This record gives sequence, structure tokens and C-alpha cells, in this order.
Amino acid sequence: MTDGTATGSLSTVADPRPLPNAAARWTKCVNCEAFVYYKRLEKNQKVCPECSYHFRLSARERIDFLLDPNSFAELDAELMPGDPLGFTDSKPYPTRIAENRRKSGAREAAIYGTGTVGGFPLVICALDFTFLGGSMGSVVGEKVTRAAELAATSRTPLLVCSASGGARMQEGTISLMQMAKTAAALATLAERGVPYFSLLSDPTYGGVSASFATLGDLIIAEPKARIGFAGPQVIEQTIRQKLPADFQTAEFLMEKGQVDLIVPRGELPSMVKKLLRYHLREESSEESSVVSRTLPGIDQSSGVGSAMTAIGEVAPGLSAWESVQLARHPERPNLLEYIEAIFDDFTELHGDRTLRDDPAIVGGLALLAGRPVMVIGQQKGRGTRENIARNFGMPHPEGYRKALRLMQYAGRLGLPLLTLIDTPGAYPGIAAEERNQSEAIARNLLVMSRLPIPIVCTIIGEGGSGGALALGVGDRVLMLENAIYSVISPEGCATILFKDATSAPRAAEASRLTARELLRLGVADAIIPEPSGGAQLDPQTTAAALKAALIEQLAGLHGTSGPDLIAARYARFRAFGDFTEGRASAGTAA
Amino acid sequence: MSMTADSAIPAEAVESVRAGLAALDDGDFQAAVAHLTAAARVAPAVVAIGRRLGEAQAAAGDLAGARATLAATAARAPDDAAILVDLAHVCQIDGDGAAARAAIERAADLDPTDPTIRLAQARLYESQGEMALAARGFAALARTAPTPTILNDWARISLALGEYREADAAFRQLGALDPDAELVARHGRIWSQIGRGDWRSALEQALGAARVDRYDLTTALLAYARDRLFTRMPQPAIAAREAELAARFGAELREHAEIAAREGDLIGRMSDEREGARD
Ligand SMILES: [Zn+2]
Repeated sequence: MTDGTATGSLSTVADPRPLPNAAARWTKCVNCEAFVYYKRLEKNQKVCPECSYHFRLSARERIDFLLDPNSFAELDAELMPGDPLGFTDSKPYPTRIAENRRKSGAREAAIYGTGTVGGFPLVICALDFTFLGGSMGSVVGEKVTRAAELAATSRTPLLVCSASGGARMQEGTISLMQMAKTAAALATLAERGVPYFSLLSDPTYGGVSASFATLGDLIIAEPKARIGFAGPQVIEQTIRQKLPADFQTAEFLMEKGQVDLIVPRGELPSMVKKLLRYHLREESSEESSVVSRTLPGIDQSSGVGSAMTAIGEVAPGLSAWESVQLARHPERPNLLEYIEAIFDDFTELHGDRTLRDDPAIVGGLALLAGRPVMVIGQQKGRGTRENIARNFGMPHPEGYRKALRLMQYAGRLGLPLLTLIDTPGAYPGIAAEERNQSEAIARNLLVMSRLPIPIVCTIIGEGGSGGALALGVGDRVLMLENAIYSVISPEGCATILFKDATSAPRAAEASRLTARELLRLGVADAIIPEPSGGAQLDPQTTAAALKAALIEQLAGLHGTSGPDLIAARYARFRAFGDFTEGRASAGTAA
Repeated sequence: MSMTADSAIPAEAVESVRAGLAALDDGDFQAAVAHLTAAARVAPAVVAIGRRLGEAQAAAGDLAGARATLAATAARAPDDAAILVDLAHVCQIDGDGAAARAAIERAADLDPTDPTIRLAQARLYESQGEMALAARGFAALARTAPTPTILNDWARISLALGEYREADAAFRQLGALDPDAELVARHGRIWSQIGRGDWRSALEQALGAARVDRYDLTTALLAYARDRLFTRMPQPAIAAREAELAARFGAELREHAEIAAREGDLIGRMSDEREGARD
């Protein structure tokens, strides 16, 4: 026992914990087969330092790695499943439970309670794949439900960490009913405006993925985690085809628009902290005025404010066609460049949950002068390659549906919505039609008209028709000085009306698509000045002006109730129309 | 021997050792290496300091440093099995299989009753491609100190070696020992019987399986055993079916290995029992 002697004598200067045994000190990675020293593996939160394989965690480990030390208070630890079916396979269900308890040291396949991450409180529930495959029976369903109910009554954000093969067969249809029960509890949570984050780890399948795990306001997955409804073997058997290697991985799901974020385990605490920060409940309604007072150069005494220009103050300057050129200038700042310059802590969220993550629409949570907001816009590329990837800022229906999802998220959770519009138009193509581009745009118009949150829409470049308006139904509509907004491109208009594309400058003039004209028509409420020669010559100054305008507009809307906002927004768009009331046929007859 | 060396921790090294151990405990491995290096400079002959420095370097991922430290410390304390175990692993990761093997074999000779050293040794053999040696080690452990992890290892290696009788025995023992492993053990037994060409036993095993089967493997094994028993399959079809089944069963076996390996307390209990037996 030389080892014992060595540490024993050292205890005169310190009290180190004894070493684990020879085999336990060196873990062999199940993925790359490298030996990893146990302290290194623990420090790395059980992620292999050689191949980044994420070892499966027990529920305890998950909570230990994620929450602030000693902040977790477990609730209802003693819940025990019954045996509703009197189920026996090779042994009775109660015996199986008892054996699993003895072996794993856990009482059931989930634990829940309260805790903090980075000091922000949350309700957390973690599933334990090491206990009967994390399967959901009565106890798992009950704990998820109680966690959701507690989150709703205490108005505390909820995080559920899933790892499960699905429903627990031994509890039969009762386990199936847990799916409905947990979903119903989450519906209540959503109605209360409390955020629910879902973390998916390897594996998340079946009755768990088809209930609470995929219902998150925001869905995070661990890298390479396998997530799906039916297992790949079952699918291969059914379709008799080999599946792609990345099928049902987190990365595959990201591409298919099913998850918002893939976050390596080591970055989870800081990501969760960031997300909780966005959803801190406002302490007082004074906050926004405090925020704008801290920013220099904002004068709230005038109606429109110094950050913007009212009608008449705009220098007459450029022709419509010159504005079109500037709005489309290849170096004009794009959405992500404005986001970078204006907001803090932007977290991009991904996917429409159904088909794909459309790169032509970018949206996510951010802080504007310390205040959480949802930002959404069309993203053009810089250069040909990126423009092709971004489809030149022309969204598909799934892009608008991603935007819709994020708008509804903001609406549910009371976050102001800021849209930054810059698109030649919605993408005209076969696939777009097949997926109902029209409905995608129309749905956004309908939903935006009823969101109980402040909405400020800014056209930062091209406002191409319905594809722009799909992000444009707001309480305030702003335009950068050289932005344009039209029902059709000048070239298109020229071809149709003047039978000649070279008449585009003439068509541009006739379309009244400049910020000046639209301010006059009441489509825009204010113009944000650009440096002379266009935003591309001084992006920073333009971004600063845009930022000031956004802060100011939000401050103006802050404190107005949801119903009042909706009523005013209704009135704003209800008022558009130029017509005379015809005196009916009786007059002509007379 | 190490006792005399340890008792000579000079007063000026004490602070560094204390700080190093605290940093090691906090997971600040770089700081631990710095403090313990300072201590080792003051007291190069103290085995315990070298041991902890080697540990800190291994934790920090400093292979070359850990290897040099552990080799020097092992030379000073040639009867310390724990240092040799760590040295063996560091050499193995460093790509020096021969040094790794020499170190682990010396450790096993020093403490022949410690099953955890035997387990580490068998795993190192496997990493070096010494499958027969590894299989012998796992088989011995399965007799004297069986855990689900050890049985999984033994079964897997036996399958790899085509030793289907041993694999069958390992899976039978695993199914009896680990409540979670019933299904994987049954699949393993069917697979072993298929390996032996005992289609009839395989078919009977498969027919008797009636449990949740996330990998949906029972049916696939059953279908294969049935086809082999009742039809003549062309060789390419056999190879393709077996490759597919092997991949699917391999995934199930790996999953069990990962979950079983989490029960570090089982291995802990194993050595506790050994300590108890000694007292
Ligand atoms: Zn690895």
C-alpha cells in the first residue's frame, strides 16, 4: 500500500481526497477509445478532450454541471411509480424498479427542483437515461408536469433536460397519457408568458420527443445528440433503405429547422445564463425611460425626436432612381452588420420547426441598451458566395414561418419586436409555391396585427413588396433615408407598364418608393438620416442613428398596454386607402 | 522506502504543495502544475510530490511532462503500483506501447490481488491489439471480480476473437448480474450462437425474447437465424446481413458499456470488498 502511505504523509500539509482505483482513474472513451484521466474528464464535464464525444450524464451530473454550486433544491424526490398494469416480462415491474434503484442509486428516471444559473433563478427537471433508459412513466410525467406548474405559478423560467428512449412500456397506456399531461401543463406555462427551454441530449426519442421535449419556446441540443420520433433501425426496417450517417443527429435537425441552437456542454451554463437574462421580469415600468436617459443625444421632448427627421426636414437631394441604387448598393450595411453594431449579446435562433432553417431570414434575442428584444430581418450576403447562401435576401416560406415563430415567441413572453427589412422580395420559385409562399406572408400580416407587444419596423434597404411587408406590420414604421419600399421593383414596373425595362428610372419616380414620398403618404412614420452619399460610406454613424431611433421609439411605446397597442396598430393600417364614397345608382337614375 | 522520502518534505515546499493540491481539487490544473513544480524543485526526492505533480500534468493534458515526472518518481519508488499504473497510461497515450506494457506488468506484479490493476492491464492490452492477452485478463476478472463493465469487455473481445463459447458465457453471466443488461445479454447469446453456426439455439433464444427492444434487434436476429436454418443463402448475402447485424448489435453493446461504466461505484465497491477481505 505504498500509495496510501504517500498520501497519508502528505496529509500533514493538506487533506487531498484519496485517489480512485487504478481502473477508475483512466476512462476509455467509448467513441475514440482514447484513455482520459478522470480529473481531466470531470473538468471537461464528461466531454472527451480528444474527440469531443459527449458522454451520457446522469440527472445529478447534468444538474451539477449546469447549475450554480449548491443552488439546487430537489422537490418531490420520493415519488414512486405504481404498477398500473401488474406488468411482468421476465420479472415483475416493481422488482425491475427496485433493482434499478439499487444499481443506479437514483430513485426514478427524472429529478426536478429549483436552482440558479449565473444567479438567475429557474425551475429545472432532468431526465436520467441511466435509469430504465430515461423512459417516461407516471413519475417522470408527474415531475415534468409539476415542474411546469411550479414554473407557471412562480413565474420562473423552466428548463427540462431530456434523455430518453420514450414512453415506459411497463406502464402501458398510462405512460402514453403522460405525453398529453405534460403538453397540457406546458400550454398553461405558455399562456402565463413564462419561458420554457428544452435541452435535448443523446438520445431523445419517442414519447418524450413527441411531447414536452420538442415544445420548448427555445430548443437547444448537445452536439451529435441523436433525436427523433422513431429510431433509425425501425425506419430502415420500414423503408428498406440505408439512412445517411448524420440522420437524426442534432446537426441534421438544425439543418431541418427543428432546433434553435447546438451548444457544447461546456458552454451550456453561460448560454442558459444568457437566455435567462433575456427573460428577467421587468422590475418597474420606469426602466425604458431610464435606459434612454442613459444614452446621450436623445431628446424625448419633441414628438418625432431628434434621432429622426420629420417631413419637410429631409433635404430634397436624390432622385428616386439614385435612392434605388443606394438601397441596393453592394456595400450597404446588411442586417447582421447592424445587429452587431446596435445590439448586445445577440443570440440567433434557428428554424421553422418543420422544414429548414432559411438563411435569408435571421432572427434572435438581443439586448438593446440593456433591454431584451426580439430582432428579425432579411439577410443579404456580402459578395456573391454569401449572397447565394443567403438567397440574395429573398426568403422562402419557411423563412417567414421562422419569423412567425419568433414573433409569437416575443408576443408570448412580452418582448418588444424589432424588424429590420431588406429584401428584393419573397423568393419566386416552384418550391416556394409548393410550400405556399402566399399563406406564409399572409399569416405574418395577420399575426403581427395582433401581437400584444411594441413592434417597430425599419426598412434598412430594399422593401420589396409582400416579402417586405411580411415583417412590416408595426406600431411604428421607420425608413433609412435611402431605403425604398414598393409593390414591385422599378424594373418590373417598367416592363409591365412601360413595356420596357430601360424605363426603370421613370418607373421608380412614378412608384413613389422613396422614404420622403412614403413619409408623405403616411406609410413611414419617420426617416432616419444617412450620411451624405449613403449608409455604406459611414456604417457606424448610420447604425448609431438607427440605434438611437429604435431606443426612442421603444421608449415611446413602452408602458402602453397590449390591447391599446393592438387597437392603435389596427387603426394605423385600417386608415390606409384612397377612395371616394360613390353615390349609389339611385343618383344616376334621378 | 517512500515513507522516508515523504517524511523529508522540507518546510519551504509545504506552501507550494498545499496550494498545488487545492488547485488540483478546484480543477485549475495549470496552477496545480505550477505550484507542484515549484515544490518538486525544492524537494525533488519526495515521492508524494512527484506523484501529485504527475497527476496534475496528466489532468492538464501535458503528456510529456506527466511521463517524465511519473517515470522519475517511479524510479524513486519502484514498489508504488499506483504510479506505475498512471505511467503506463501516459506512455500508452504517448504512443509508447512497450513502455506502457512494461509499467502495467510491473504494477500487476507488485499488487497481484488488486482487480482494478488487472482491469487496467486488460484494457491496455486491448488498446495495443493484444486481444488474446486482454481476453485472458477479462476472463480471469469475470471469475474473481465480475462487474457489468468487465463482462461487457470480455464478451466484446471474445466476439472479436471469434471465441463464441466464451462470449456466450460472458453474456449469460452479464444477463444474470445486471438488471439493465437482460436484452443486450440475450442478443449477445443469440449472436454468439449464430457465430457458432448453432442456428437452432439462436432461433430458440430469439423466440424466447419478449422485452422492450429499442434497437429492434430481436426480430432481425430471429429472421437471420431462421433464414440460415431453413434456407441456403449465398455468401455475399450472408456477409451483408452479418455486417449489418454486427453493426446494430455493436451499437447496443457500446451503449451498455457506457452506461455500465458509469457505475464507478461498482468498481469502487469491488476494491472496497477487497480491502474488507484483507482486514
Ligand atoms: Zn473520445
